[in-house]
Amino acid sequence: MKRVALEVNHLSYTFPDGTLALRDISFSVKEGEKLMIIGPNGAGKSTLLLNFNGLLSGKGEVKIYGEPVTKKKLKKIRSQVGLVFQNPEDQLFMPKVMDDVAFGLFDRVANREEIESKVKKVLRDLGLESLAEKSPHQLSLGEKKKVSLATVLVLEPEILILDEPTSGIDPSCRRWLINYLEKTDRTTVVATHDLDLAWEVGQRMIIMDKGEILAQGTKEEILGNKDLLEQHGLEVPLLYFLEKFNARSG
Amino acid sequence: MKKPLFSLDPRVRIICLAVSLTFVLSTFFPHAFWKFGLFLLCLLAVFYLISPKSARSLRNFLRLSLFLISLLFFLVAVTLIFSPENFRNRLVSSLDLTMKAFLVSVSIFVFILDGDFADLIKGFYLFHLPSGFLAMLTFAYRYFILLQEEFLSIFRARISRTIKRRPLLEEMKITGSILNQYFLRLFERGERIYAALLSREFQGRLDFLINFKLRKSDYLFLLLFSSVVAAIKFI
Repeated sequence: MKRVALEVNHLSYTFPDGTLALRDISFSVKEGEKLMIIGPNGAGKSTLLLNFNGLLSGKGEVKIYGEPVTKKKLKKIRSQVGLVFQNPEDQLFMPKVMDDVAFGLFDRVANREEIESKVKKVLRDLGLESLAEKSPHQLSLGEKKKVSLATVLVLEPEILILDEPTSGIDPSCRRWLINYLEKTDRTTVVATHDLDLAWEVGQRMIIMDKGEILAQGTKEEILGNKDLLEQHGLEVPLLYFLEKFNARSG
Repeated sequence: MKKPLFSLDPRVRIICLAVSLTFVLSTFFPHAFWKFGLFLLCLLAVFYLISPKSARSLRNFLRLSLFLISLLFFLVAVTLIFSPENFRNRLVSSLDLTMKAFLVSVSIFVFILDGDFADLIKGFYLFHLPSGFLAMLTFAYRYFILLQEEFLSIFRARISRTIKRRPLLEEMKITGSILNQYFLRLFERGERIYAALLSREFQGRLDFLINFKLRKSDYLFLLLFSSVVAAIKFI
């Protein structure tokens, strides 16, 4: 029986200006599961993700492997939860790619040779070896997105959280990311309005709008519900129709 | 970009800069103009040896030189206008100040700005400079370019929607609004960057992977440069 990796119970969050961003959110994610959180702009997806590693702290409860996310446990929580931000310019802050990827390892690994070898391994796995000595401002957006992912993966988090990972990248980079997410067996939570990505990668879906969860279910239940999607500014993904057509044609 | 004739370890660059600054700040140039000339020639030789010799490098060097020469003329003019009676004494002090500023700027350009700044930060790290200072340098380097791009994007949006010039007061109001937006964006970006730092367990300290070693040529260069500067100073 798989453990519950992430559990959210009655989470609500209000911005300092009084805007209610999240209303009574509850759901859970099992170990190894891939959850897609979909919704239109302003639904509260990014705000929800920031609660998972304690960057924001709302009313209610968030648990990572049964441990509540509190100020005292932030160090442990942040070592278990790897968050990749939507804008890689916010995530990459070191002068060179290899230093950025190595950043989080210095607190965990004492041996510099070991740090170097982990960095080289992750860069090799993601096809980024040639970028090791480059500065982030010399990279294309797709390369920055991959490097952002590398900076988190090198820390081997148990839960990987991605905020709009395919926004602004070209089709080949997008395909690379989809292939990577399909292959990984890490618990993954992706906030996106790229519904084709959600269809290909997701096992379970949550649809959000105006800070609330409207529905949860399998990808067929959520992404096949045309009325529900259209009511909230979304569309049935093309891949859904394609698979249905292929299934009918036998 | 072409490879330089001579690649210097960042630590050697920093030490050479320290040697240059010590020489410049401890020398009164109006009493020995030839020292100014000799040291400048020495810096130009170093520039030739260690610069990547890209067109951009040369252009930056020329711009810097022109700016500093203009500064000299400006200071002379100000001295003449505001204290004609003590003109000679003030001129000598102004000249000394300007020559020092010129040589310090050229030294900083040759040893610091013209190289790989990211490697230079690692050089400071190896000298165990305070981690707060290193963090400041690192983020300043990383985000200076980003801030430029942000400014440029706002500026481009502005000019692409401008068909004709507006009255001066209106232009000033618009510029004020743009600056307001720019600073708001900077503030928001700062918050997001801090959130990214925290989510990767930033504790206030930055560490770097070091991929360079001191070679015999670095020691030789340091020895040669220090000897030349000492010779200029004491002869």
